[in-house]
Amino acid sequence: MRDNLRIRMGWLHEWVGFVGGLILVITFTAGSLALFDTELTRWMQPELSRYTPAPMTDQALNEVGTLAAEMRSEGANAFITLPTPRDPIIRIQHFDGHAFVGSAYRPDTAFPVATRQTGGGQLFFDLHHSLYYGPFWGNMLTEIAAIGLLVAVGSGVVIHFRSIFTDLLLFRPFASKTRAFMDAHILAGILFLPFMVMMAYTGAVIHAPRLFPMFGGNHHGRPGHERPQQTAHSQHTHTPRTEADDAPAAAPLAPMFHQAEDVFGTGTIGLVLFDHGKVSMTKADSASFAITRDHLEFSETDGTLLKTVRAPDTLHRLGGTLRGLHFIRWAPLPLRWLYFLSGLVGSAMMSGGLVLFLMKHRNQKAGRFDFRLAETLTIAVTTGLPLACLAYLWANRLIWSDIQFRSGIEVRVFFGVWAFSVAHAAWRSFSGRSKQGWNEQCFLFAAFALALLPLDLLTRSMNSFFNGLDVYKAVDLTVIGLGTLAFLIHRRLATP
Amino acid sequence: MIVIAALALWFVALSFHALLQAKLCRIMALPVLPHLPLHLGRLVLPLVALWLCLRLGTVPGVLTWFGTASVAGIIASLALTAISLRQPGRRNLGDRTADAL
Repeated sequence: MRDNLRIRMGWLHEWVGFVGGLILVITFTAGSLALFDTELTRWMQPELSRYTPAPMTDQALNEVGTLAAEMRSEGANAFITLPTPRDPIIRIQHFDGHAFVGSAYRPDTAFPVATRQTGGGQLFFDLHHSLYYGPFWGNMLTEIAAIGLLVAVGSGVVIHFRSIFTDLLLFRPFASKTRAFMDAHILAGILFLPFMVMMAYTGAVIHAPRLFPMFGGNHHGRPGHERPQQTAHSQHTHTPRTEADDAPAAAPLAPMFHQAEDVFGTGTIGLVLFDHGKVSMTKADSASFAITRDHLEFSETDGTLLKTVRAPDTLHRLGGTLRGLHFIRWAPLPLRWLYFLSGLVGSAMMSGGLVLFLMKHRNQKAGRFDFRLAETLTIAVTTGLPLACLAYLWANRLIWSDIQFRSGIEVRVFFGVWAFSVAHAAWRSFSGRSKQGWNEQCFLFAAFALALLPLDLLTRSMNSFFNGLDVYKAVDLTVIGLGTLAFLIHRRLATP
Repeated sequence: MIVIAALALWFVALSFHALLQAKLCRIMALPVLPHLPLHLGRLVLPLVALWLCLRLGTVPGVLTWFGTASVAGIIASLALTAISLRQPGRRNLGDRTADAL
């Protein structure tokens, strides 16, 4: 009976794991990078390396508020992000359908910093939660994949239940290749089980309204009637602008900001949103563990306080807590690194699972089209995606900084390289040399990753080079570490 | 600092756990070690790590505790694997053990 259950669970784990795994490797890789989306955006705006952080002044906030109001009067759906320790600069941003883009200003003088246009780390955020496929179908796919992960984890635990504690640290690279891959898959799966379950569960719950739209008209815990969602769809079909929207702000923002800080605490306000003649001083996601988007609403014309909006009930607070656990924007740097490492190991674990699936079916089905297709897709997500991410960073530094539609071109490079990796994987797989496909992509990744540091040094100001570890060096060193790992895998694959 | 200390404590605790497993001792060609200190270490060190992590605050502490356990597990496994690879004749034993599973 017990073995029968294990066999059935094995079948479930294998097929749900493979189909879901193709999406989940993308989700976990992109999610790990999205943990440092702000830092990656800064890396991708090397002009900011010349900037030294300064505290925000009231005058600067008021001036940026006037600029934002002018942009809004010209039809842009602009809002302001205030300086945080992670991004110590004021930005006026708008949603371009996939990412929040805009201009940067010094927080002490409101002097514009001429940064290049880029989607930055937000590409990975979009890829993580919707596969760059829009808020409906994309979210739906990742949502279903998250549920698939929970099924795969549950069935995996049943399969290995008998040896789950005794073999907790068992890894035998000297055994057969299948056994070594299986050990690595189980090792990472069990050790990171709490992380996987927590991320899959919170991720599924956050986007649950996509699967069950009949149970609520809002999303992300934000009542739909209070602030329309800024989505690709809403960009084109937003409500008609009123006269109050179009008029430049009459009231200065600084008094509103201080009033909001009095209510929510010093250093907690992160967003200034504008909507139908109202200004919302909104709590930053990093201000507390639960993301509730509490805010104070002011009249845009005279700055009088209209209302204080807090999470209305326990259900919304619970939703905020789950989002806080998933996004961890509140967390200190060491914890974000732990999440990052856990995400990467999760991605590697699922990649190992995909390879095990191919190993199992290779003997009987190696010549079949569907097997070759599965192998192509596996290569594309395991090595092709990291290659595309790296190409995105390279494109950021090599494309002219003042070219029009720059952020769109960077994204096209990302998808272009990914498409190239799919084509390369298909060529190698359908010609029966899939190992070479993996090997070549690993080598390409290693070569370009190890050369990223010189590229960074050549394409940005070196004023702050000896000022200790900053985001630029952190990104370079992390990529070098990943490149070294890819090179070791390449060496291993090259060994007959 | 707390994160590094928690990582170290988990590393030792998980290594003790591994040394209590006959299969792993066989692979690493280690003699059977006295069980009581290993059992005690396996039990106490994670609690010390938890106490340390909770100094960061309840929620960050618990998340850090779980996170350091996972990362320390990978490090411990790699260290044990390195030890087992240094043992002469481990390759054959590893294969046999693998087949027996």
